[in-house]
Amino acid sequence: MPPRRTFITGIGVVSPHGEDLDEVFDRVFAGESAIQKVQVETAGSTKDMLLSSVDFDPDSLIPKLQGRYMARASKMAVVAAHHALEGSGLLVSGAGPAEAGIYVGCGLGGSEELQAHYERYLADPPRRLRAATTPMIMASGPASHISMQYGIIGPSVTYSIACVSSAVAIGEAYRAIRHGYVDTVLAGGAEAQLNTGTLAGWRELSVLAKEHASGAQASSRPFDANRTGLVLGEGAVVLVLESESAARARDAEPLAEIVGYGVSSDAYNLTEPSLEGQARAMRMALQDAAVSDERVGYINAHATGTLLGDRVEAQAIRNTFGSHADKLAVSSTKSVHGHLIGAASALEAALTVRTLQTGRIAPTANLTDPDPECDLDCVPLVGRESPDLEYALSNSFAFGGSNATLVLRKASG
Amino acid sequence: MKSYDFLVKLLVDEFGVNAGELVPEASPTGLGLDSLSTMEMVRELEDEFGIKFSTEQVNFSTLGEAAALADELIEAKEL
Repeated sequence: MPPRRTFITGIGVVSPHGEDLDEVFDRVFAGESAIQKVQVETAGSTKDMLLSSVDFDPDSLIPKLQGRYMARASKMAVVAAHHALEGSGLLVSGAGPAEAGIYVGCGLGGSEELQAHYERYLADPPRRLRAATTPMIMASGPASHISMQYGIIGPSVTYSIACVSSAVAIGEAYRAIRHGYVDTVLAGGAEAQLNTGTLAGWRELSVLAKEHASGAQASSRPFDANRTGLVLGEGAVVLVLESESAARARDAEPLAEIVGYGVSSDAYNLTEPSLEGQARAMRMALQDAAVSDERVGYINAHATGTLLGDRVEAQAIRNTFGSHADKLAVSSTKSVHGHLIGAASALEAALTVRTLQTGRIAPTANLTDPDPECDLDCVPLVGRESPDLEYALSNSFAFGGSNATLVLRKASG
Repeated sequence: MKSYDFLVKLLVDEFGVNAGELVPEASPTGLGLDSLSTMEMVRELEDEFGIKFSTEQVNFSTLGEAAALADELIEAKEL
């Protein structure tokens, strides 16, 4: 079978900026931050933290009995899948396409449930763990619940690879369609790590942003000389991917096309990035897409706002693209939605689809004083029109040294 | 039947079961409870009253039967 084209025909988001992707993109394009200062209860004290959290209501879709066994990430994933299926026209009487695959990225599964259950187990007097503890905390919960909610019996797989989880889920789904294993896939990511135990771990890593003098919303500052770290977020994003033939058979309008995917490992360090590993993922993705560097106009960067990470990515982009790097627009939308970890790549891929659809490149917000070591056009502060944009990359890099890049193409019929 | 009253409140408040469906003759599966939910219901009952169902006792057919078993265990414990 010759390789098949992979169209994106639906996108559902449950994001810090809301659940309507067009509105979400417009707010991101306007540089409007969803980051807030939140009081987090910890053992014996309360701390202010900068978070990008989601306000959503799963109750209309998820009955109470079912929800009793679902972690927050799973609930968000089920709602995002609903939006994606509805938008694609594949939701019929509450069911999705039965033979589809489900490829979901998720880092920590039900971490808030793990915390709550351990709290009662370790309390004085202690209580037993719930019978449901184990199935509620598994990272594969979001994929499993999408399958059960929408009656989908194809492969249901989970990629748990920290911050590249959903890039790999989307990339592997693209490959599965490309090579004929499945015609339709719900691909994306879900993450809900904003609970006190998990947040305490992140705090001790010393990678979280400090509040900026001008306020919480200015605190995520990728590529800026005064960046102080990343802001954690949460959410779920599901893309409906279809083979060209499946989409055309039902006259589905493609929103964009996935044309390339590269994935690599650094084999270097648990938390430090590697320029070569990142560049290798980008080169692999470009080769897979069989597209010349000059036709790429935009990169949605992984850039989280850490000192080292942003510099390494900027240099990796320069090494990959050579002189064309000077003509690329590179922005980090994490400046306004924070870092959604296992759902980050899926949200950024969704925003990149909207970038290609609208010909509008979202800015890197808060980029008032560019770091000279990040010597790229990082689209500071103000979004721009780019109507001729045809190809865009979405970069994702993770703790553990995993790197993944997707190449997206404007829908061309 | 103090454990029955507890079960009714538990199933309505925590499991989302419609109160109108809760009669002693109702079976867990008839109420939409799968094996995991039934296990969780029993755990809640055990923890509330400090009792322990045996493996065989967990195989009750109706809510009334579960409540009666629980009441027996509570009574035995109080003797």
